[in-house]
Amino acid sequence: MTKTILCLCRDVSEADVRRAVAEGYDDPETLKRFTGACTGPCQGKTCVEAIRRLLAQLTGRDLADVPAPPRRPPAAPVRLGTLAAVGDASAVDDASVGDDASTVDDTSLGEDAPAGEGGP
Amino acid sequence: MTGQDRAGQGPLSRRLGHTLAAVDHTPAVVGGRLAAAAVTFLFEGRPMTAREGDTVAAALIANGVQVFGRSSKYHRPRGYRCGRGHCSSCAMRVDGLPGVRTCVTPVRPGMTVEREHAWPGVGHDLLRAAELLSPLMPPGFYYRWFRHSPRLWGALERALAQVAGQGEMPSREAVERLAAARCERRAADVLVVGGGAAGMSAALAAAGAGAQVLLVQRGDRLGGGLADDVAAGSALAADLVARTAAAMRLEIVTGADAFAWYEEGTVAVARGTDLVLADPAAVVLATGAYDVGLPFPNWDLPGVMTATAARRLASRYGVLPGSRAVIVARDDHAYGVALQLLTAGLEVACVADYRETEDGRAGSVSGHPVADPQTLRELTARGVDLLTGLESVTARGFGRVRSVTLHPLGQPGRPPRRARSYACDTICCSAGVRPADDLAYQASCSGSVVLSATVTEASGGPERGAGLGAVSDAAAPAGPLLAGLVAGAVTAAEAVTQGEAAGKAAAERALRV
Amino acid sequence: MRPRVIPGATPGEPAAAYDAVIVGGGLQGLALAYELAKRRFGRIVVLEAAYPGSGGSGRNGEMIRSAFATDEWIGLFDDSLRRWQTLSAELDFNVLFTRAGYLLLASTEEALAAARRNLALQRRHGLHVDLLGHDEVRRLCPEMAPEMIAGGIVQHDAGFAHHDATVWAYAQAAARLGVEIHPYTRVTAIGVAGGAVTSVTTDRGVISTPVVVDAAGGQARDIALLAGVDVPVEVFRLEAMVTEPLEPFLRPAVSSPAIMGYCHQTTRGEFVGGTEPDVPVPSTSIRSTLDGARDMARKFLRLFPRLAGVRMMRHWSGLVTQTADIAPVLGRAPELEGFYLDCGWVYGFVGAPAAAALMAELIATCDTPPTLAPFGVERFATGKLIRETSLVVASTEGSAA
Repeated sequence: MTKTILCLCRDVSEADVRRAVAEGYDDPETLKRFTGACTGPCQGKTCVEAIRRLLAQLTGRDLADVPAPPRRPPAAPVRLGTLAAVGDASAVDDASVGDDASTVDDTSLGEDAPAGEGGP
Repeated sequence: MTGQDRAGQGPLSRRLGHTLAAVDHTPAVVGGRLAAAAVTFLFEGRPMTAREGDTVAAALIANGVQVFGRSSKYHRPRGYRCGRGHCSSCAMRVDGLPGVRTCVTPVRPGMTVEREHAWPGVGHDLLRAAELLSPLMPPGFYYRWFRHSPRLWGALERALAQVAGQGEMPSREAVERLAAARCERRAADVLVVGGGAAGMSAALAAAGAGAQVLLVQRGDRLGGGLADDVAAGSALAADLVARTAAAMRLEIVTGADAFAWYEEGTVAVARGTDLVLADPAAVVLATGAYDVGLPFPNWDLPGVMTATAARRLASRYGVLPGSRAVIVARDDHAYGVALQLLTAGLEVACVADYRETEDGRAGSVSGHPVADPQTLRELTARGVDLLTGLESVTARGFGRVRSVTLHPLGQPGRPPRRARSYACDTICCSAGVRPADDLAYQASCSGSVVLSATVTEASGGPERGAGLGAVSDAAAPAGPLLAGLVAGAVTAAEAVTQGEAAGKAAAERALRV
Repeated sequence: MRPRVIPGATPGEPAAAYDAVIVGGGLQGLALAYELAKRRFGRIVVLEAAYPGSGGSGRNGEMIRSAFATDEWIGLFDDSLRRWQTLSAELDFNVLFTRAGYLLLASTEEALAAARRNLALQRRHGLHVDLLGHDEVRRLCPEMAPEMIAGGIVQHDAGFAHHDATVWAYAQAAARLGVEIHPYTRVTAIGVAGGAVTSVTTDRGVISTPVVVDAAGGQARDIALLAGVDVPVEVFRLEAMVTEPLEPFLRPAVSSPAIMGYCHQTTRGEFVGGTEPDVPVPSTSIRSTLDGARDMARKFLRLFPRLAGVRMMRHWSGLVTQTADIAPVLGRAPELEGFYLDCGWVYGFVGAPAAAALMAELIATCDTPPTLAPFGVERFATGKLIRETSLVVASTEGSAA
């Protein structure tokens, strides 16, 4: 079937994005959560630009006003066994608390647990 | 050559009209690759021959495998795409581990490779029928279905869980291997992430300034995009690689994927199954860039890939991605790559550029506004059609690309131009890049990319994807220094200059502490 | 043109006056708005600083249960669980509530004994719960490491739902009843006169109102301070992760105090969960930490060893505002007329449907429903803290059982 798939990881098509925006999910974060785009193994590396451009075009905004969703770790998927790997005694650092200046902007950054959307 | 028939032309290609040629689906193997030692591995139980140094993906393509997996919702066939471990389209189950990115995984003797996400098999996946139901499945369809019938939703939900495309649990052997994973901490004055032109330059500059340098590179060798760029880059790359390997106070770790910059300031690197934690005094990120996608109908078919992925396959592994390619472009880079692929032995039927020429004449060398005239002349001399001014592109094929149709832009006051179709089994897309700024983002405190004031601002072309919008924050001492494509460099020379500046600044920062 | 952000959000500027202003467009605020609108309270507006569901509502572990160890918690959360059963129908939006069961894992004989005691109380409240032995838990969760299992309590009609869907469902239902929702609208001041709230100032204008509800999640304390009210909550960061999708291997939601962790597998196959350090460190940062990543990996592998070969796709953080007894702060702010508190949530996702209905009842009738009463802010002054022990959260007084 002829589709333009934008998010290859989740099979989100261009038509899907248009529909979602038309329904009112026209913020990059809510669009992401509603369609599932950018929430797969590549975490948007392949699709975020195309989706940003389409969203900007559909809503009459500048690209700069349609930011990509936050890039959280890991930058590429990592095996849990690797993260849990045991090493030398000094393996655990003292945790340093984040900069207070981060809170004001951080709370407006989007995030997701891309879970339970109930579909393939 | 375009327009000429070749033996074996089939009825399908006859129906496509315009430019016809037989399309041979067995990718060719190029030159010196056959000199490398043979390595045997198992693909779905069948023994296959690879060459030492191959990635799993390169070996599979050389052996004629085209469909690498199936997509999660519609079970659409997928294949080799980005060639650099970004997109996950090439992921397979390797040695009992699900989701292994075959394009960046070296083949080992006796390796077992299997495809995932299909039933009964990836070659003929009956679950593809799910796509026929797609009109019933608009985005968020499940939020509407069964909202008044919790029992029906419960039953559907369990059924969906079964067919949703997912990986199988890892094998016992794979789990044992992961359970034996080790963690080591590495101290260094300067950590450089990325071993391309910018990364190597930064590492050399930092080491030269007296810092102890740790350079991590995802792939199995240094060089990055530069090494793949046979025409312009390889002498420069060879020189950088040699100097980097020989430098004092410079430790190189390959096969090492830096995946996180945590709040504590530690950079975490996955090397195989092992974990390397680095706590450097200064960090240079030379992480390169991602290809900006150029979506068109059916661009997710096997055989559609980025131009750099095609080039890497040919120049690094000596494997052609297919037998006949069309290049779809929105940048200048595509033309050089087209020439390199031709030289490697791939038939290139056409380079189709979305951008319009000034005088609007398709295929006019003199009218082309940006690409290097010498390159254009050579392409034309070798029979490559040059089209400019595209409205849209459509690919066709079922398990693989079979043809592409190019729809030109209409011009006011002129008769409309005809669509052109080409039979092909490979489409290479080139539309510019956007910075691979993941680690920079993670490192930043306020959500903006932190650039050092000493790194040169990039010129940036029209095809550059807008990243975060680089914000200069010279006052953040703990932030990373960016160099190369990730900092907006366009040419290899710029990447080298930025790398040197970043490396020097990083060394100063580290040694000052 | 201002984007809509979500269906149900209100185009145009907020009006100059409303009967109730709810600060915070997360699940608590939106659910409360809906419940108030159901009671025809008048003109109601929800003000959200970013996009609705951007805070804890969009970051939590989605798990739902009411099998707790105190009358107070069971009272509130079982009211909620009963509402969860029919929420999709009521809101006309499938929130994907999966009644897969919720397992509270006991890893030691001591923990199992405590579970037995709790079971008696839970059964008295009419909860649909059973005590499981080692073998039964193994049958329920075949991937779980046997050495982690002494037994557990399973609550059958509990499970998990989709956090974003629940936010959108409440927002759209509220909007249908006339509630206004304004995303990307920051509250910068709260007007007070004669011991009562009079107005709310935003970056889009001043709104006069006799009722203000602080449902601001991670910023609830800051918002309350604007009105001169000090809410005794501390902000902590919780970290969570999600893996690549896997074939179905885990049916119920699982809570394990032994690893101070909770997890479930979504319909899409992803394993989602979080763990907490033994000693929580207050933080307002939502960046990810190395300690958090390693802690989650190690602990989840203790529980499900085969996950060692599975990849983490994403690791994020969210904020919880924790009181001394980890129970929410619900009710009037005693020193300020018209100012209500709906914050201090750690189990906010589960609790929202009931808390919303009960808070709406309070605001509309001025009578505190009995189920709500134990959670008033006065309890910190009177010392009537609720000693709930069945939580997978480290309290500042030491870890819970």
